[in-house]
Amino acid sequence: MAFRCGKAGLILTQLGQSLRCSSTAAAAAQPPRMKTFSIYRWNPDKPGDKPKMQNYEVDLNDCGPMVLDALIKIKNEMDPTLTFRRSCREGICGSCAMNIAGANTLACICEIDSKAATKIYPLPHMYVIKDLVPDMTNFYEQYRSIQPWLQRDDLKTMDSTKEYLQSEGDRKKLDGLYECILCACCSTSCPAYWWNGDRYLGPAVLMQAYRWMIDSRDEAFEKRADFLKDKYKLYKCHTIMNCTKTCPKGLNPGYAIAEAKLLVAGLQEKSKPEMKATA
Amino acid sequence: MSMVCRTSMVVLKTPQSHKLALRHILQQCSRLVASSAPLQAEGTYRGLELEIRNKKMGRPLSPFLSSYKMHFPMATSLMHRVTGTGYSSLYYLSVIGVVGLAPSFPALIESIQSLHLDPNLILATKFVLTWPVMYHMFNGLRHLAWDAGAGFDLPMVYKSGFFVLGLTTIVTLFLLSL
Ligand code: SF4
Ligand code: SF4
Ligand code: FES
Repeated sequence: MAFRCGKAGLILTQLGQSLRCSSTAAAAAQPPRMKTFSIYRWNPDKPGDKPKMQNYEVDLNDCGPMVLDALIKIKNEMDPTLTFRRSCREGICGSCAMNIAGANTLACICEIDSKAATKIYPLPHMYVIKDLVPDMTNFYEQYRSIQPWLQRDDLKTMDSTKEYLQSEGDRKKLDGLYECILCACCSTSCPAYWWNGDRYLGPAVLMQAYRWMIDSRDEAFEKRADFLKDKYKLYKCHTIMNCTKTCPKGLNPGYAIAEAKLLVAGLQEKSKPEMKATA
Repeated sequence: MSMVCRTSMVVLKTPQSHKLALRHILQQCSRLVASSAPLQAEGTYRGLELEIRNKKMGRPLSPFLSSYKMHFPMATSLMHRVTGTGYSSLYYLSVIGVVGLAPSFPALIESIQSLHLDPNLILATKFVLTWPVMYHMFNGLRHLAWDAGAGFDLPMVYKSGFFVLGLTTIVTLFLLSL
């Protein structure tokens, strides 16, 4: 903000008229709107450091609208040691997932509320690498374990200039599933995942397992269903619905899991492809 | 598979540690076998390994219960578990109590009646004892609907939750009025 304003100021002063900066000046004249961000801190480089909450006061008149804007402002202007992940700042990379005001969400698309203070923690029940940065290895390993890619017998022999076909209806079945950005907000909000995260796969990974099970082009249904058939991986979900409640992309992993349970238990069958994948 | 094993042969021919090379081959081959065999539980078992590694590194576990804000669907679920475990323990305890301590069930009722407790207190106790059973039953039906794949929209989750709470209270009051 300061950078943008400075640059614009330079150009606009040359023009003898400064629109943006005059508005900022007006904003500065307003009484400051201070808000406290109470942020979880833990430093791995300080031996014996205990996690603690640290408060930062931010003037909202001089800050972007999202929680990520406040975090970046704090890091830039107050405390460069504050550590968090971010990349796209538009809710598509999933890096900035964290626990804000008691619920998991993406900091970059979470608007700063009007309350006096907001608490920010890393994603719940995760090992902390530093401050708001959790170790995601287990989550990614679990994603790897469901083999999230297309599996067919003819993958190697298929003419590489051709594509696999799918009817519009079959493609539609993947809506609400493929949009997942694997931010792990849902998995780390799930009490079942808190207690059994080493054996229960969690909503994000299960929704993708379901997505591959029902893909009309995929031929590995039996294998995929067999993999989920035990006490923990899938059936540890108790339909608590924290996942669906918290998903920042508005997806419904709880529903996907319920459908996956029916498929894996054999109470429902994978529907036949409406169209042959190879012409 | 054959390609990896062949490249490993090259490794074997070098005067380097044969053991290491052999282990490398075995690892590579087993990995390949694993990827063509049914999905391995690899990720799940490594979960424990990763946990141990993290603990060794002294990393703290981020807060969960204390930092997660309770919301209505979560509360209905929590109540389902509490009423379930609470009632089944109470059931076993009372069976043990009745069989073990009281001479007979009618005698127990009589001894309670002989205490001449305030009828309001008795009614309140009945309510407190009945409500959780009714709740567990109706919310159990809600869970059955979910298990059948129905009612997963978030607004529906809220509505069915309120419906169960209302129904539970009404039916409990009805039973008490009998
Ligand atoms: S389902 Fe939603 S919350 Fe879960 S990982 Fe995907 S985008 Fe994130
Ligand atoms: S519905 Fe299943 S996956 Fe979602 S929060 Fe509940 S237990 Fe976890
Ligand atoms: S920064 Fe990419 S999702 Fe927030």
